[in-house]
Amino acid sequence: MDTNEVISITKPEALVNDIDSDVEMSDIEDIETPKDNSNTFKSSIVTPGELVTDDPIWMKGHGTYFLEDKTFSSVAGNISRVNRLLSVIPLKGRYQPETGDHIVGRITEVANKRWKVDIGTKQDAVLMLGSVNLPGGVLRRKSESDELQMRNFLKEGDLLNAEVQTIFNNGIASLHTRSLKYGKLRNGIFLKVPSSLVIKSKNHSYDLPGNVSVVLGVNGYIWLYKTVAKSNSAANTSITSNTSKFQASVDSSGSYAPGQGSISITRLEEESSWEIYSDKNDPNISNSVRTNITRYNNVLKALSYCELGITEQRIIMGYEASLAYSNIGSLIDKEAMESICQDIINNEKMRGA
Amino acid sequence: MSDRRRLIGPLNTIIPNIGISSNATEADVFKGPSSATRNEDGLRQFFLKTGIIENANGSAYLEVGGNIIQVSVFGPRPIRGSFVDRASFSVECKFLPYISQPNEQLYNNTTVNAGSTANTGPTNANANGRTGLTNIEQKISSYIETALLPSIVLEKYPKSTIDIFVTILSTESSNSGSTKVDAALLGISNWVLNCSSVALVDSGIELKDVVTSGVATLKNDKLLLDPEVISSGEDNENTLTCVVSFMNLRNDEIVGFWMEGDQSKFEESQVEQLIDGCNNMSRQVRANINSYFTSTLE
Amino acid sequence: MSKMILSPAERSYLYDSLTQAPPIRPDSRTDHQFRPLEAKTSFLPGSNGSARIRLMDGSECIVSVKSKVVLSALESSLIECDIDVSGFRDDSNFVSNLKFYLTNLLQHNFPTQYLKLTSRYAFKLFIDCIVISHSSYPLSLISLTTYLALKTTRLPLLVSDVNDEEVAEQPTFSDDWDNAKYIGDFMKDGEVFQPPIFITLGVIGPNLIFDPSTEEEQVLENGLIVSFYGNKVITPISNINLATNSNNSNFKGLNRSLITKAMALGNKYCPAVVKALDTLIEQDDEEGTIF
Repeated sequence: MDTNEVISITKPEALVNDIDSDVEMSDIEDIETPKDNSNTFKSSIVTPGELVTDDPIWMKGHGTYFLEDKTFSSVAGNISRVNRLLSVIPLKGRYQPETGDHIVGRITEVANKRWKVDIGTKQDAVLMLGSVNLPGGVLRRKSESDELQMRNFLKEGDLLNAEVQTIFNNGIASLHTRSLKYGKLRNGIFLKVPSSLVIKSKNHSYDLPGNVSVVLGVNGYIWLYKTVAKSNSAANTSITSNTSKFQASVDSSGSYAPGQGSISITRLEEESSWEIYSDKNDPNISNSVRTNITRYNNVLKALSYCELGITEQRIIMGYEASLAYSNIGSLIDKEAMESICQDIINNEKMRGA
Repeated sequence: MSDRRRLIGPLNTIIPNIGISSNATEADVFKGPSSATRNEDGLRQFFLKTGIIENANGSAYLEVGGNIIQVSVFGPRPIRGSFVDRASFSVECKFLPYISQPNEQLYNNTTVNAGSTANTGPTNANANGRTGLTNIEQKISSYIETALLPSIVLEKYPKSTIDIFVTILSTESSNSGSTKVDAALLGISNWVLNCSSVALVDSGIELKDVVTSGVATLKNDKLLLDPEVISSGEDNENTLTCVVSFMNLRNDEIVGFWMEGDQSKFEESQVEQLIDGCNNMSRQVRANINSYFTSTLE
Repeated sequence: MSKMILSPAERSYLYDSLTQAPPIRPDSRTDHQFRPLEAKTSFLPGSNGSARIRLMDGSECIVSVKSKVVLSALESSLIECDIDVSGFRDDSNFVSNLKFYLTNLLQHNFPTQYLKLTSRYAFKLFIDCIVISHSSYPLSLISLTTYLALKTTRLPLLVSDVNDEEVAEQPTFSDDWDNAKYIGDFMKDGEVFQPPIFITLGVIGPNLIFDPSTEEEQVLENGLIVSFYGNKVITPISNINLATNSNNSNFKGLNRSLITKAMALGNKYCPAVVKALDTLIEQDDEEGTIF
């Protein structure tokens, strides 16, 4: 029997220590000497406590502090200049929410008229009871009975995808799920990658080959799930049935019945509302879909391991590269992950050329 | 109106007659385990009583051979803090301080340096002024907790906690010699489990089944149920000991399993034999517990 | 380590995937496959033996073996284990149980006769394990690291007389560290020194899965701990609730056939684990030690 089928034990990679101590010393001296020309910055990467500029004309932004008319960095990262605003963007750190971000989060607490949601930020985000769609129509007021049964909609541990609606003054993000593409997540698995690897784009939810879909949260929380067949989706059926009803009403009476067709959007919300809070998975998830989901899981882990930015195209290329491994179990090995990422990079070079 | 700032003792307290001799004879004080009579089914007779602790929601007392065990169940009690949809369940098992625990030098890091003048005493501070549980106590607690967990209908008690406290008043391994085999440990775990199950039933907490347990030793291909552990000097070659806990009315599902022993002769068939033995014993114990409860109802 | 809660949909998806035949594990491992490890031996210059194992998720364990010459008559055991898990109190149930398991395993399955120096003196081994970080139940991680540390433990060469019954003499040792011997060197021809190991198995539906991850632990129906020594499955064997700090609602009794099945699987796949560990030691040897 091949040992590698059971366990793979490798030696840790030797630490590459190529920092020359002499150079380092002279560097520090350099840093401590204030620059005459304050408009040119020594390097775009700074460490905490390093002088960024001594020109008081700059406005201090995130990641900096101001002392005796000089601006210092408070994090390790890249200097960013927008007009007169000077900030340092940290290389690593917690996810910083921005309005409009599509994120995946997990409920941590049910509180007064709101849910607390872990989205990987410093403080848990909040999802107000008023920011979700509830059964009974989108436009109705939230009543006391809704408050009492909040745990029936979302409870501790539940995963959802949502959009950052606004950032409060204290830095806490407020979320909303007022769209059919947001809400509780089902039929799949969850994984985390560093949020810095997720590249922001217009869309963060993709259908991938192999009947698998992904919600690639900007916060680095990812949900892989079985693609919902478009023709069978609740939303579409209700639309079609409403349309046919509408047509039927036109046909039979020969006149337009007000209310029949016009409620379709409200009806759509109503009919799907309880369903969007269901905990039941699709009973028919085939083994091939399940296997594909694990494949994508490993591809995403490989991208994260090799610190490659994650995009739809790279996920698909990684998936195609992973198909070369017939023994799917070997995908968790370091070598396999590196080779998949190498394939992706080569592929991109070829396309770029 | 009573003083609410103080914890008041139970109303029906009795002050013990301390220092009055009961004229106990040597034989009364310690009826050696050998004096325990065995029934025709091979088990030792055991004494069982429930409801002895008024303050607890359920309690049980068990004597078998030289083992004396007392269990109290508290709960379901409400818990504060974050919401949980099922009750949390914990077991804490303690030996009385003067009882020697089976193989304690080995597991509890109580390095007793006989002959050495530097008598540092037990490192775990267990003998007197002990802090937490010893490793052995923790291990028995975990065994009981794991085995009872599947039997309790925890989802009936959201935001609650159910706690079991076990006190071992006496064990038969008074001589914790140099024995390497943990038969004594398995033996006591077995009876602690049976006693805890009875206490759970007594508490009225909803159960899927009463977990009962059996312990068996296979020595030179001879199966012995409920072995007595007295002779630490005996050689333990080719001995396998096993405690298995079952839910006998739910397809004999195994909820607790712990096997120790010599490794030189060790076949799957022997494990089967041991499980069968333990199942036999578990069923006997179950029958006894059932008849105890029906008799208390009459 | 914070309490891990999965959503009901995640739980049921994971449960359904793991109860397929064969099980579909989230990281695509086969049922008998361990998570890949990174390991290093003999890196603590102050210890007789040392090893470190790291998992991809950052779980890491370091084991040091130190020896001391003792009067064997005064010792109840020639091996003493201590375990430290970051984030847990030493007297917590979690750490106490780990200590109990490891002590129990090594007590019954170690060739202590080779630690005897003379009729009166012996080496006593102190095994210190530190779990720096862990996500799933760390017993298997601890035991595999201990295997590497024990196997690479070197003890100084005795130069004084072995027979000290007549003359009361303190044992003396060679000054030259190059003369130090591995525990395996003391063994007779044909015998191989292979310390015992633990493996953890998750029970779910009809399946047994090796080395369950922390997500998998949350939905298991039961767990089994199986020991392996001398090329076969040995005692202790016991069941365990692996998801110790969660409220696993799937936990239930197990069918007896799974216990014998676990033994059979242990006998089938553990030799590969031991072989992989031995191969790593050989590779580390070729590089030469750092001292």
